[in-house]
Amino acid sequence: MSAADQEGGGLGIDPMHQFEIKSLISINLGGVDASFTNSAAWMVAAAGCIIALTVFAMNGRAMVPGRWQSIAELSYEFVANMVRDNVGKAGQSYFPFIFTLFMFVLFSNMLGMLPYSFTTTSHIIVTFALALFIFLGVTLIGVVKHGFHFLSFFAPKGLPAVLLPLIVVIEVISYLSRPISLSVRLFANMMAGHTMLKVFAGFIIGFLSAGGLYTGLAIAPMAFMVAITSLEFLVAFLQAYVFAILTCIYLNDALHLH
Amino acid sequence: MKTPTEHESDKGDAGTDNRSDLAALDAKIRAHTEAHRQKNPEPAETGRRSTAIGMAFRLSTEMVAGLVAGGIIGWVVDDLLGTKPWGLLTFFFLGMAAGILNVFRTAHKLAADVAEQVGKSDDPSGDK
Repeated sequence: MSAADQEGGGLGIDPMHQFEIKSLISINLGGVDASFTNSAAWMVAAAGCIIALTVFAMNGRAMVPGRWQSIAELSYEFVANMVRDNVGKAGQSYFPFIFTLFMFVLFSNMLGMLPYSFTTTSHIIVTFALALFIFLGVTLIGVVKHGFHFLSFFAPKGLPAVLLPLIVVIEVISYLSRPISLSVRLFANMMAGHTMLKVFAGFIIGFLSAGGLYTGLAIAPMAFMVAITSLEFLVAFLQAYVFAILTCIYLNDALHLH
Repeated sequence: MKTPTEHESDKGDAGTDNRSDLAALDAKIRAHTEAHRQKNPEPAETGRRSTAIGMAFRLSTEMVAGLVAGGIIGWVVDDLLGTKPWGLLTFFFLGMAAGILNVFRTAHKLAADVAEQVGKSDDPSGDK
């Protein structure tokens, strides 16, 4: 930030500064830097909020649910319907995983919308770790359920023998690209949105500090900020939904081998 | 899910009277909902439309993912076999094909979803 100030370029606002990882508690495990960072802290916060919502909100177990219990029940039913629609009966045993995944991504995204907070899902290593775990798990489920027959997933039916080697290679690459598209989609959406918010917020400050006639112009980026903020809330939910539903679709592929 | 009728029936003697009241109310609400639905059909469609940019983004990530996966595989193959440019070149183009396959599949799925939303009658092949 100070470098930008000295060069006199820009407004002295670094929109990428919000993604900086800061070590809160230094931990060194045999030469490996395993510090407790702000990213880890916000992940713990997300997990804490989910536990608070699902455990404490359901404490009353009222027949007619209150507000908090309604939220917990709605999210449960939302994910349960998603799993039922996309995977069917066989997916019921994977519901806890999908629910945890959806809630974690949703809360990480939503906590990121708080001012001064840190969005864990705006780092590709976080989303890629999630996606890779899903990818390995789903592949393992497919292999365990179908054994050697799982490989037929890569060879579409009714294919001429000449094309088979080429198509199988393409299908395998397509399959391997799944964790990449899954993680890039979530990460890019969150990072692009938060960068855009900071850039437009920078415009407001720039106009205001310019003074005079420019002060009035600050209303334009301000109005845009209001609109974009609400859009970001939609994106935060939508990306969690897409992440969970794609996991369901991959799970369905592994269980039923289309 | 607990229906209101079940809950009311816990209260005992006044139950039957309340229940017939509730049945009448239920019928009324049902009639209103039906009328409302007929007046403005498919409100869900606007929700679909608003995510058009999301759809475009989804398709482009599918393409990029295919390319990246192909590129990484090519790189690793070159590294292991020492076939410096050829592995990357071959797998880059195969990755491109995989990306297009990804895009095609996703677009197909999205189209099937939209067809399912708009009218359930005219597309029997819209299953998953």
